Amino acid sequence: MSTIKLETSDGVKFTVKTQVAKCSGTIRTMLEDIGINPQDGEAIPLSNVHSTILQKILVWAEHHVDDPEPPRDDADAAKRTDDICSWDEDFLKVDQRTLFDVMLAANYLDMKQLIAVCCKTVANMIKGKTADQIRKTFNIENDFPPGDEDKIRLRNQFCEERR
Amino acid sequence: MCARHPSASTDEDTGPGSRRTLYPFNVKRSDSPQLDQSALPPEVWTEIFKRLSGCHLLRVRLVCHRWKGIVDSSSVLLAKYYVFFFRDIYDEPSDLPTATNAHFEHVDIAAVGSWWPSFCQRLVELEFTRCKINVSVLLDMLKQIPNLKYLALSWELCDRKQLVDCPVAVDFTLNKLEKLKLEDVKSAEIFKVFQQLCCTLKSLNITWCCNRDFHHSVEIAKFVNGLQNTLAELTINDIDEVLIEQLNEMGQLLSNLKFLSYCLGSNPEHVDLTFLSSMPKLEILSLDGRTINNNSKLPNCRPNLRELYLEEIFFQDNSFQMCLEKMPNIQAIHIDGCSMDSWAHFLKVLGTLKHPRELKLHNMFPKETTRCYFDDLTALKSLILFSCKMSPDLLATLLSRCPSLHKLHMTHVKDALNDDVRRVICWKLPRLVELRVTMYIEVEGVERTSRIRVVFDSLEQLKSAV
Repeated sequence: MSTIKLETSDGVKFTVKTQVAKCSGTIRTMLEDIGINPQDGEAIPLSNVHSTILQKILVWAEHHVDDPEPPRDDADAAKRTDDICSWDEDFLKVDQRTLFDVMLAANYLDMKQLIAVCCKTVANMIKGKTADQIRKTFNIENDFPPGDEDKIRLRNQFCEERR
Repeated sequence: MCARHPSASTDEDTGPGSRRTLYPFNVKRSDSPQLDQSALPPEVWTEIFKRLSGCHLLRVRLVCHRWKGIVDSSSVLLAKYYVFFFRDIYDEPSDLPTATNAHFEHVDIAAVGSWWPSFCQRLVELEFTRCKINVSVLLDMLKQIPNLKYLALSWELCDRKQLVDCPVAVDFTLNKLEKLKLEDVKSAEIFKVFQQLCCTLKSLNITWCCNRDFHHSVEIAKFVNGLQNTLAELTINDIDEVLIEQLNEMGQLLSNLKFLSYCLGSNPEHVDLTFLSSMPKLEILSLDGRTINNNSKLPNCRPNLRELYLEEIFFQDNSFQMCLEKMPNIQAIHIDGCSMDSWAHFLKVLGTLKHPRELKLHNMFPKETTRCYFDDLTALKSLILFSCKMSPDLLATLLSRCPSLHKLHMTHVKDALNDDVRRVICWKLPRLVELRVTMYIEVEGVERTSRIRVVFDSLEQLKSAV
């Protein structure tokens, strides 16, 4: 089975099955379109990804390597957030810092399915909360000048959800 | 080594910094103390927010500047809610959320002020429901929204005149407008205005008052005629002789039409619908006869027709069956209150068709309701019978000939639900997943007879009743 080498930002080299590495659109493009030859033994540098995060992502990719291609731009599927499989749910039971690092890395590596499941997880953290509770959850500072939040709230009253 | 992924250029969101960064060597992680929310780039937050509903997004706008900016700069997110104006616009609603959709209800649009130009920039869909609409004001408003795709207008009920300072000069066009809905039009000038305003409509829905006081058929026909290159969907609530004549003349020109819905309305008998024959792409046809004495024929209906909706159409002899024979690809048939001599002819024709998946019969009372022979309706997945006259024998035969049935609703099926029918439902429909049988039973009480509504919505309930 063919393998390739990946080198993380902290200089750690991983030997990965090519098929698993190709879960990443970025790596797939490098191999297929740009013609990087992994047989050269040279590691592909992933200067944005730390080894602890890559390790985690590789576990996910290994588990999902045989997943069928998701349907393209299925609007309904994108709206749902209650369809996270239990393996993924456990996988993403991590602190927020790690979750966001995984998302950043998944974004950089262009792993659509992993991004999707992370987005659902974060969306679920926002759902049903007030603005204040959301700020607390994500440790965000309210940077509106005094009174502005109320103004926005007042204007929001003109808005209704689309059915 | 710069790997630009093809998908990087397809994101339609144009928020600040929303381009995906895929250059491996030039990205620096910011070590901001506010690590969490600034750690993720805006396009990732946009992806997260896409999973939220409109009311959650309104809360997201309250969290901080950055999040508000992310929501307000994504057209996908903005499309999840609409800005709604009801009755009085009491103050200057400046700083309204930029919206792609706005809805006015019971508003005098003359009250819309100087805030409009900055507010309407991103509008794609605009609805006025029961509003007081001065056409000049409306045109001034529309002129500012070159990207509008959908517009719906309905006038205040008491607005009899529909103030048109006729003739109105129109000096611009809405080139991106695809869908227009005009409700309760009473002034012919309105059609003239929109004829000048939009010439690339794909979908047009008109309801107008067809009576002695209003003769707009010529204007409507002219309007429709001007849209012949683009129009795919046409709905008109009422057509009179003049309009039918006009449509027959231009039938061939409307060759792109895929969806057509008419109410034949207060029309005399013998409606000539030959124009239908010249619409080769027609897939969905909906006709509402409204009057019983409508001796209309469906001439050479199109072979591409997939869905047919008929209401209160009177067919002479076997004309309906004959036209059904010419629709080999029909998938859905909904018939309500149409005349028919016997079930036998209809079901025989139905048995020869390969694709019907959905059959809905409402208020059908053929003279002949007894058993007959016909082929299996192999493709039929959904059958809805509402207040139809059918003998128990025939109903049992019909059901036993629908082996693929997934969904069965029966309401008021007069006296036809005997034990045979129940047995067929319970034992001969292996794929049935949705069942609802509703009927009314008269129970004689001490003082009066009362009607009780009985509903079976599972096989178990029906079995126990057997």
